[in-house]
Amino acid sequence: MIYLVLKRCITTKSTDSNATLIDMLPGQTGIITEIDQGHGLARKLWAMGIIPGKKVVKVSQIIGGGPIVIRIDAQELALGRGVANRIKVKIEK
Amino acid sequence: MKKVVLVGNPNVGKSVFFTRLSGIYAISSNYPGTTVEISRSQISREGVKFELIDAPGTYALEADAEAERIAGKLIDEADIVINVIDAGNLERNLYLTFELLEKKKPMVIALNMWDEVQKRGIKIDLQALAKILGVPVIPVVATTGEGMKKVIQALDQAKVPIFVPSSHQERWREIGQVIQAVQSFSYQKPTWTDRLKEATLSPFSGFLIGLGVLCGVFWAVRQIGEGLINYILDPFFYRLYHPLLVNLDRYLSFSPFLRTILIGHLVDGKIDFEQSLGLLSTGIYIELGVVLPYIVAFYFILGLLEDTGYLPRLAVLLDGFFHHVGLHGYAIVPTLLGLGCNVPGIMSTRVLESKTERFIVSILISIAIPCASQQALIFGVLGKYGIIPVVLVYFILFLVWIILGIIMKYTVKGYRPALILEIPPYRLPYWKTLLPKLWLRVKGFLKEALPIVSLGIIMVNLLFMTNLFPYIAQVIGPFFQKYLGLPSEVSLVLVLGFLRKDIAMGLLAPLQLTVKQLIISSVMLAMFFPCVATFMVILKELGAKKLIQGTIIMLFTSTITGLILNLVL
Repeated sequence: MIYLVLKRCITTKSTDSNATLIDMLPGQTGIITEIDQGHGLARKLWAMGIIPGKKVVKVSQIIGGGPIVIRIDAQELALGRGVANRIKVKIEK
Repeated sequence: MKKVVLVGNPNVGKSVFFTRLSGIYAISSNYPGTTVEISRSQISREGVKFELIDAPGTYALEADAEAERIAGKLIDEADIVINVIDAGNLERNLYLTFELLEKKKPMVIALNMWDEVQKRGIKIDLQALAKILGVPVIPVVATTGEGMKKVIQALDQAKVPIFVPSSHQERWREIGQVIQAVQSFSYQKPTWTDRLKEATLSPFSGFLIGLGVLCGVFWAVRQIGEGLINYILDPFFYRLYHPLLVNLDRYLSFSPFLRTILIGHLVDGKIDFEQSLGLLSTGIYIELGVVLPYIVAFYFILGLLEDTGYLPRLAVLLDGFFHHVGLHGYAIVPTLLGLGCNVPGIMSTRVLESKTERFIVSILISIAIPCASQQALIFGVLGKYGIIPVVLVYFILFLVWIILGIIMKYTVKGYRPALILEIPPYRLPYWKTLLPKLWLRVKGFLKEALPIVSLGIIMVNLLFMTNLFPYIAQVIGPFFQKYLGLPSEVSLVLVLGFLRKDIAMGLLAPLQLTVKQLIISSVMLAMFFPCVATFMVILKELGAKKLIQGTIIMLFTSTITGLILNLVL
C-alpha cells in the first residue's frame, strides 16, 4: 500500500505541472509554466527571454553536479541547478 | 561633439562593430563579457566629429549588475544610441531594444550577423521593423565590414523612436507581436555545427572532447613555440645577433661599467645568452628569444578557442568541478588567460559577478597559475632533465590550486551568484579579428615586459656591484638552506623574481642546482610574490586591503609548499 502511494507520487511528479527543468530528460520538450520568485533572479531570467509560456528543450545535464543546458528558440543557455530547480515546466513528451 | 553609444546584449559583436567603425582595435571573442573596459574613439564623417563609445554588453537596463549600471549611465549621457542586435536572436534582443525605446534617445538599430541569419533560413522584414519602431534598421556583418558605411550615414537619420512599449508585464507579448509581423523561418537542414553543439555538451562525449581540446591546446602551444625558437629565433640570435654583440663587446672595452650593464660577464670567455646577465645579451634573449615565442603561440591558440565559441562550453562542463573550489565554471576564462599573463587574467575576472569570486580567482591565478614567463622558466631550467620533473611542477601547482581553492571556499565568506550563461553558436574564426587580437596582446606583452626586465637586469648588476646582495643572502639565506634545502643565493632569485619571473631564469642557471632543488625553486618562484605588474593589477582591481590579505596568503602558501616539498621529494 505504502509502496503504491510512493510509486504514484514518483510517477506523477514528472508529469504534473510542478516538474522543474531538473525533472526533464535530455531531449524532452516542455513549456515553462512558472518561475519561482527569487530577488533579482526572475528579472534576470526574464530579460534573457526565459519566461512563462516559452517552449524549452532540455539539451543536456552535465554530470558531477554541473549545470542544466536548455534551448529556447535557437539560443542555448546553461543554468546552475539551483536556478533550474526554480523553473517549473509542463513536460510535453 | 556628439556622443554615440553602442548598446546591445552580451556577445552580439559590439566590439567587432566598434573596431570596424572606428578603426581602433577592441578585443573581441565569441563569448559573453569580452568588453570589461569601456573603449572610446573618435570618428569623423564629412567634417562632423562623433565620439564612439563601446558599452559593456547587457540584457536589461534596470538590473543591478555592474555592467548594466555602466551601460545605463552611458545611455543617459548619449546623443545617439546604436543598438547592436544579433539578428539571429531577434526576439530576445528586442527586450533590451524596448527598454532603450523608453529612453527617448535618437536611435539607429544595426542587425549584426546578417550573413548567419540568411544561412539559417530566417527572414526578417527590415522595412516593417523600421516602420514599427520608427528608427532606421540596418543589416550589417561586422566581421567583414559589410553595411558599416550605411550605419555611419544613418547617424544623421537617427530618430527618437515613435513606438513606446506599454508596461513591463506586457513587454514580451508586444515583442511577440513584433516578431510575428517581421520574422519568418524556412526549414534548414541541421548543419555540422548543430551536431558539434550536441556532442560538446553531452555528458559523456563532452568531457572527452574537453580533455582532448585542453591537451591539444598545450601540445599546439608547445609545438608552435618550439618551432618559432628552432627555425626562426635561435638561428637569428646565434648567427646574426651573437656576432654583433661580440663586436660591440670589443668596442665597449673602454668602459667596464657599460660593458657589464649591456653585455654582462663572459662565461668561459664567451657571451652566454642565458648566463651573461647583460641588458643586450640575457635581457633581450630571454624576452624575445625564449618567452615571446610562447606568448605568440599561446595567444594564437587562445584566440582560436575564443572565436570558435568553445570556451563557454568548457565553462559549462567544468562548472560542477569548479564548485568544489567554490567557483563557477566561468572562472576557467580568467584562469586560461592567466596562463598567458596573470595581468589580463586578473583583469578579466570582471566577468565574474561577485567580489568574493573575483578575489578567490585572482589569488588562485597569482599563486598557482604559471604565466608564460614562468612556464618558459620551468621548461628552461627543467626541460633538459626530461618531461617528468616538468610535469611534476605542473602537478604540484595544480594540487596547490585545488587545496587552496577548497580552503578559501570555506573561509572566504560572501555572495556567490547562480550560474546563468548564454552559450554562443559555433563560428569559424575569422583572421581579420584573430590576427589584430594576437598583435594587440603581443604588443601589450612587449610594452609591459621589456622595460621592467631591462630595469631588473640593471638592478641585478648594480646589486652585484654593491654589498646589498650578500647582505640579503645573509639575512634570509640560512632559512632557505635549513628548511627548503636550497643554497642561500636562491633567496636572491626569489626576491628579484618579484620584478619579473623571466629574469629569474638567467639567475638560476649558473647556480648548479640539483633536480630536486630546481623543482622546489621553480614551484616557489611560480607561487611566491607575483611580479610587480600582477601586484599592481590586484591593487587596482581589488584594493589595498585585499592585496594585503592576498600577499599574506601567498607568502604562507608558498613557504608551506616549499617546506613540504623539501621533506617529501
